[in-house]
Amino acid sequence: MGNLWSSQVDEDEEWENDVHYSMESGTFCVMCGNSFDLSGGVCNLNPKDQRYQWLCNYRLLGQIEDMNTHRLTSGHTEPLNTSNINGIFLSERAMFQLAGQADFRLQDESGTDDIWYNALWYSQDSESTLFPLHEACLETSVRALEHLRSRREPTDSEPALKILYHVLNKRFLYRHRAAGQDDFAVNDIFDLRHRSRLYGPCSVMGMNRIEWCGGHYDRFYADPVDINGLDSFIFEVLLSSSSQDKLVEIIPLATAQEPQGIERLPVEILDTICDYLPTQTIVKLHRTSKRMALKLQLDDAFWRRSLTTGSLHAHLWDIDTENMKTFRQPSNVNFSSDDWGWRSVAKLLATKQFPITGRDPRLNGMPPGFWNRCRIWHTIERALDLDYFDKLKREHGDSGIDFRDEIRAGPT
Amino acid sequence: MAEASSDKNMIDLTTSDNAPIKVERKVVERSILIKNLLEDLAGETTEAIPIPNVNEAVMKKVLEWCDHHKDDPPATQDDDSDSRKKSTDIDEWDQKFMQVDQEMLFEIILAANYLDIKALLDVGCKTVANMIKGKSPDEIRKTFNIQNDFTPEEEEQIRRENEWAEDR
Repeated sequence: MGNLWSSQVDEDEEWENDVHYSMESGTFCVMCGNSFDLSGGVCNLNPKDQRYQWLCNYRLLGQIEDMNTHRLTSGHTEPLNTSNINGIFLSERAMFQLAGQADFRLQDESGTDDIWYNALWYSQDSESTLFPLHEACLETSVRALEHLRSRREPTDSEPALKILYHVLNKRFLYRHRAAGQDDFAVNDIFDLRHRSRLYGPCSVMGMNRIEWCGGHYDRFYADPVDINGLDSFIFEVLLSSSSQDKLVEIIPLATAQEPQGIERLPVEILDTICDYLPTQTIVKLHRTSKRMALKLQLDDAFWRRSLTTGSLHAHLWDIDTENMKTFRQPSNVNFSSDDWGWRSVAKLLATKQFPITGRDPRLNGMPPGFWNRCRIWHTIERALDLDYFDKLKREHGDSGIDFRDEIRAGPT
Repeated sequence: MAEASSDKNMIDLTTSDNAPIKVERKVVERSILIKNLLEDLAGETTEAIPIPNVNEAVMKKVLEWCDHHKDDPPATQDDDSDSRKKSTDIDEWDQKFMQVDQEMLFEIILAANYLDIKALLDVGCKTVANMIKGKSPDEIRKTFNIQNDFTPEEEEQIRRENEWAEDR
């Protein structure tokens, strides 16, 4: 079986170390494919190293009314719910223990008693489960969801965390109901155990023995939120992008027609309208007619703005353009130089999947955390496109389940 | 030109179609253009203020908005205009106010721009932005009756050049 975006799948590879462990127990973060405990033994990796600590910061996400179903210990105390979203439970940081069954420990509200939960647990009459997710994966996913929604569904006001939970849960239930008894990869709801011939393994679970021995796992374990060197990387990309890939406009845009309606608005008003539009929509508006293309020019200034507004590069939410300016040197010319190929940079940085070979050399200095962020972002982006947004669009013509009704109605 | 009102709290305007309009000073001062003009004149004129770019129907609509918002606090400097994209949330009254045909909507926007009524200009632009958001180029054309004057080859070329950005 291929994953959602791979062109070729090789299923003959073997699992290794804690990966095997995680897969057999089925307990890993469904967003990134990493386990919650590196002490199972990954070659040459020190689990106590500060840069891996994000893997130890995870929470449980579920539905309030199902918490008791997953509770393993008796008692009347409850854990603290950090979510203020109706029906949704998001725990404080949890603790993990792999002892026969994978269990997660939370403290009660007073902080005195431990309560144990069996996350990712399923029975035939289950309607929902409890997901252990790294905080960094949660943040990345919620940001991706909010970004996608801002350009797709302006009227949908459901909290992103609630939508995320229902997308995960729907996939989880579908997989479990369709799977056989011995399908140990049933919790791999995003097919992260697979590998693409073009892009390589989707997660550590998709790595082969040679890749393990070669240390290729490191980037999968890089913190996707707290990224060292992101600003300097982007600055280097800018420096090496001067005069590359300049768009050659060969379409004659002059038009003799008398402008009507929106086309007669002056450029400064159209620019104000575009202040409220995501870059993607401005591009669509640009190509509606020659007059609009002439008034809304997609020049380097436009692409430079798209970087700073974040509407095209929402996954670069933490770039600090002021910090980037500090990298300037006499040889670097001006930071906002028009000589730089801003379109080319915007295009390069909008990419979230990077081929194993033949990729743009400007990406050579990419921080591993940024690579990992793009990987997780892409995973949730694809899933949301397929499971949520496409269904919203096809809600009258598709036999699939309408997530929106379900989310609005709450738990079944 | 029409004679101005003797009541200093009332201002006389003449629209582009020569219609006289009498309006409360506080209301019309939502327009920075008119406010500055009144301050410059300092009560030294007896003539109605000409508004050559706005006709009566549009001016009445603009003044309806100004009247509803006459007690609004002064707008604060929008300091994030160049950073993140702005919200398109619109106040309920303003949403209803903007339920007009497209021609009137664009006239209101143009009038707000000319009269320098930033808050009204923003509401108008947000309304148009909300009509565009989430739509394909074809849907945008249908919404605003834009004629597609690209040849099929040109359209394909322009689509291909920016495909990577539309999918993000």
